[in-house]
Amino acid sequence: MVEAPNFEYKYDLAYRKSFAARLSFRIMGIAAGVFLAAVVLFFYFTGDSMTLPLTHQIVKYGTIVFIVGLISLFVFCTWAIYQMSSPLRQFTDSAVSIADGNLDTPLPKIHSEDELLQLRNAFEYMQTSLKQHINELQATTASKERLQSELIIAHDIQMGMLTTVFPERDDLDFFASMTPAKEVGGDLYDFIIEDDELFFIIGDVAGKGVPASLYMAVTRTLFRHLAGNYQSAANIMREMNNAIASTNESMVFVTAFVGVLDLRTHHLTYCNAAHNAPALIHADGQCQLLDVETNLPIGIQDHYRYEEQQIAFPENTALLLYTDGLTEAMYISADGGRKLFGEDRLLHDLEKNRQASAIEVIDYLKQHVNVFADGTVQGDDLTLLFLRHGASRKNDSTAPRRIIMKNEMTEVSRMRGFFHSICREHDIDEDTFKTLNLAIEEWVANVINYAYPKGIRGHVELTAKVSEGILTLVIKDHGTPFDPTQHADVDVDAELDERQIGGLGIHLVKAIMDTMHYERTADGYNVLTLTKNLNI
Amino acid sequence: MNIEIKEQNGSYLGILTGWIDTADASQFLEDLKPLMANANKSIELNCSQLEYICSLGLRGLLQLKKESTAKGGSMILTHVEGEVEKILKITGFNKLLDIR
Repeated sequence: MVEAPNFEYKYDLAYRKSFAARLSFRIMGIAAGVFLAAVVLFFYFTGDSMTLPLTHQIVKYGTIVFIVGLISLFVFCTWAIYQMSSPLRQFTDSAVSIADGNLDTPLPKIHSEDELLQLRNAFEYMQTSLKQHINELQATTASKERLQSELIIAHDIQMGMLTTVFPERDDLDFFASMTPAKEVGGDLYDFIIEDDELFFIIGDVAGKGVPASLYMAVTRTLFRHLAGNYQSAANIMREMNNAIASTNESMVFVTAFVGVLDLRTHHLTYCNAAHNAPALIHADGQCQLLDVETNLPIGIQDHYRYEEQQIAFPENTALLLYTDGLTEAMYISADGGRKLFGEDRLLHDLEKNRQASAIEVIDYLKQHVNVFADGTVQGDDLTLLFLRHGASRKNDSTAPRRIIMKNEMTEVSRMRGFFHSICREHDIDEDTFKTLNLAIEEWVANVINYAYPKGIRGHVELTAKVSEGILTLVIKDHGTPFDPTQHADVDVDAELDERQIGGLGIHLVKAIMDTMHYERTADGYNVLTLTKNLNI
Repeated sequence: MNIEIKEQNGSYLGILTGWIDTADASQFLEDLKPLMANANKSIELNCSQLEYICSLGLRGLLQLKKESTAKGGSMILTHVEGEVEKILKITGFNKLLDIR
């Protein structure tokens, strides 16, 4: 929006500056000049023939006539010009009134057909044009705002489709995340577990924005519907393809990887429809890209025969699925040089993090991409899905656990259940659990209530880790910056009538936990890190 | 979370039960209203069944206490134990509220 210039109209027009005064003085000056010239010429030609008394008389009466004439001329001129310029003053008032936004301000009536009439017509034209432009601007702004709010809703619906509640099984470490490049994106992931079989998909719709997001929604819904019923990966892919290809007028296509992991037999079957080959992390930490057949992307050819592949997936084998938002993440240097994140960097990262849990691997990769891009704008959606099958998760109680909550108050109860199970795992007694839960709840409730504007869907993420007797909690949200460490402490010793209501929550967090650290990240997150020594 | 309110000879007894967490807090404030309306009387809140109270819940107690003081009534908390007692201490509410 263009800001109106800061201009204040002033009415303090002094008389001496007025048009009438200036013009009258000028006419008076001319008249006086003409009169004096006439007198000089008169005496020059008639001076010799005139007697002295006559000359005296002429000068005496002449001066009186001159002064009276000049005064009358001045008064008359001022009056006449003032009268004539009165429409100008009315125009001034109208212009000020129009500028204040009163577009229907009446204009002065002009009866003559001179320049004033032209001025009036120009004014009238300006009024109607202004009205028209303002109406158009209002309509455009309104529709733009509507579109914007619809995009936000679309984003909410889309993110709502990607489940953030991951399987809680002792033999499976599973986590996924999607970071859209625009408001709505074309990446998807999904999974379901039926009869000890884990069905999972990652996909990338060609293109970005709203069209891609529509296909993303269709593909995810189809997968959900098909996964339980068509047991093999190739069958699921084939049916998704048939459904989309048969009505695909706009030739939007989707690359996808579908896997079916049998959690009893440690057997993985998968089908790859032109998607990036996932990375396979063997139990010994060796990493490689999974061998994938090339099939057509979904949506291009009806009744295409998809080939599926199988591998053994022994205990503690892991798989990282990703979209090209990862490997094609770009860094553009100051001299315009381009560098891609690439697969080698990915495999190297995975080898380095071979012991890490699903959450840690995904956090590490997201962080690394951010550091790598170093400010270059994220061009594509970034989706990551990590799964590790095996008993290691059960043994590794130091692995972080995460819950992703919506900004709804009912989530507080779900969080309590999540945190309670962690406390039980680490033999934390009930009273300590309650105290710690209060600290988390106070902060999370604060985020849910205030971090996001009213009516806007947002998330708050809690990661909990217990290691060497220290509980570390990291609470992350994408809302308005708020640094609780800068917040004035409440006076707990204040008397009843001066006791302020509010501010208590943050005080509770500070009082319960040992340390509190706040950071606002460059990509717009509030990250609050709390620790508590459980052995004291 | 539950509050049971009993009236006996013009004085009131509220029995607080369970968890008063942030999700329940607005209901808790609503449930306190009958006591707010009778803040000029003597009120006892029995906390023996209360397991947990968040800052919004404390805020409700503080409002009731202020109202009671303003109207010349009395408000006491009884059987404050364990976790709840600890929270009242941390927040300094043990000095503001009359705990017996």
